[in-house]
Amino acid sequence: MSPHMKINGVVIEDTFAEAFPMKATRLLITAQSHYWAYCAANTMTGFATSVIACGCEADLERELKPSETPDGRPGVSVLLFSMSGKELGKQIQKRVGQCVLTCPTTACFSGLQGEETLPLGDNLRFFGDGFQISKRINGRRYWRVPVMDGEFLCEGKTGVSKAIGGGNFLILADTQANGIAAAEEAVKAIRKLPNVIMPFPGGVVRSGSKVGSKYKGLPASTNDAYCPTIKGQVKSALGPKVGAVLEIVIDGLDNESIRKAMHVGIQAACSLGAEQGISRISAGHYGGNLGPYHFKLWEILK
Amino acid sequence: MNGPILTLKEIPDSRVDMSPLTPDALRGTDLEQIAAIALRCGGRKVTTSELFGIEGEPGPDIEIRESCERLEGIGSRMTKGEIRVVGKAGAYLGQDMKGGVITVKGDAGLWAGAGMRGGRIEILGNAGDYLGAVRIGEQQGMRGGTILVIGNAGDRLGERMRRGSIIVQGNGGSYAGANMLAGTLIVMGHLGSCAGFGMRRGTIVTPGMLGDLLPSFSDCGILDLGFLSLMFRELANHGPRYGFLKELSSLTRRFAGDAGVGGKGEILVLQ
Repeated sequence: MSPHMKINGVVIEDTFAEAFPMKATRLLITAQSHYWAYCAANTMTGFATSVIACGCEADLERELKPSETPDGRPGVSVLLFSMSGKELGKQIQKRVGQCVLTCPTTACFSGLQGEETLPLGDNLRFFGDGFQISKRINGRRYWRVPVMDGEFLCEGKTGVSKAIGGGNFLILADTQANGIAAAEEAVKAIRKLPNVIMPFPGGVVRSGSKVGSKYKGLPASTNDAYCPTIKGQVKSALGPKVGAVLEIVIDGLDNESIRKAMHVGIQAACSLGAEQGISRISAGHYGGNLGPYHFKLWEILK
Repeated sequence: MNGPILTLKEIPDSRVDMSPLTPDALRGTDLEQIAAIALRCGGRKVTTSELFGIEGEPGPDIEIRESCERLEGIGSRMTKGEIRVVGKAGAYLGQDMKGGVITVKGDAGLWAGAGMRGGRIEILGNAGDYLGAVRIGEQQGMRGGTILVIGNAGDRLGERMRRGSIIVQGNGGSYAGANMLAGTLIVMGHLGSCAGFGMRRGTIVTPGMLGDLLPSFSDCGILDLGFLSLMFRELANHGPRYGFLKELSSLTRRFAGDAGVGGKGEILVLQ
């Protein structure tokens, strides 16, 4: 029996991605046109790549047709993840308050129902300075906040769900160009799936990190074992033919969604094959002691 | 429908308090027990079987046939189930109801939906004065739920209403939404004079046939208010009778008031 798995000539390492429990919410942003919905959503999910320094991880989930939104207008759904409900609540207030409330023609609704909720419009309403109007429609409260182009309509609360952050896999390629090409294929495939986001720029991370640093106070630093330029100086995990490593990080609302995203993403990355310089697929973990969720590559790809 | 059919034998000489006959009270009873339920008729008590012929099966839902305006308080305080009234319904239809559905295939009397907190009342004919309005001695009118009137509604509909929705497909009387505290009043036909008199908050919506608008309302211009689309779509989900709401525009001329009482309510004239 072969000790390793291969897809299209690409070696799949017998390793796992280590992921962590998070709290998440889904927000539906609608506007007069998709253009303005994307303006708000892109601004709101900017600087939301990692909880290490951004407070939350967020990205667009998918585009919504008018028939899929509460007010019948074009929209976008956004997922936000954070390490605690309290931090998630703070991020929602800041991001919706500064990026959606401010964006012309937009409205914002909860896209998740759950027993646990966080304030959405219930806090933002105070911007109305007493002129805000509450409407209770079908058991849910909405706030109408007067703004200069009319009204900002915002649901009172948004549902919060348990979620998982940090699902990942690494693409090891001979050159940066080939690595990017495979990563782009993976991101394109994963973006078609619901309940998951890839919070890093373009869905791809080049600066994978390890826990700790030689510098006091830095919680994370470069994952030196996977950096091709310092192969001789550290205990490298890269072979002689690997010239670039790119990571896809996936946050999801549940275990199954992340498994599916990793499966689809790895298959897409491997579709380029060893002939186009993709040599290995690996995954990032911390020895299995930090995160309770282990996504084993061989199990996922069976 | 799962429950007894009560057919009025003859028009009673006095008003009958129908509040003991609710789906909540009938749950788990058989026809004999239903027949023995005491109803107040004027100054005396009568059994249900003295006033009604009872047929059908035991069950929580009720159909009242040959109904007349002397049958008052139908569905009072009900929390679930369904009451179907064939004929007229007297005053205080569905007062203080918290859930369930009442359908009247005829007209309803005064104060239908007074004190209502939840559920739905659908009146396929006309509604009398004080629809969903405050009762004498109380501070608030309707506090939740939805009332649909296919015909016209009388004066002072929605007076001091606090929450919920009233939808009138026909015309509304004068002083609609007077002293309104919150909630939504939609009148598809002609809205009578002095609409929104003394309103503090809340929304009155009409497609255009506004009577005399009080001078204490300010014209805010034509606006596209997104909450209208949301509200119309949600109300339309109640069933085919509400389907016309889906066709309404969210483009509206907004009049804010009543400034006479420092109010922050609104009359929205759909464009």
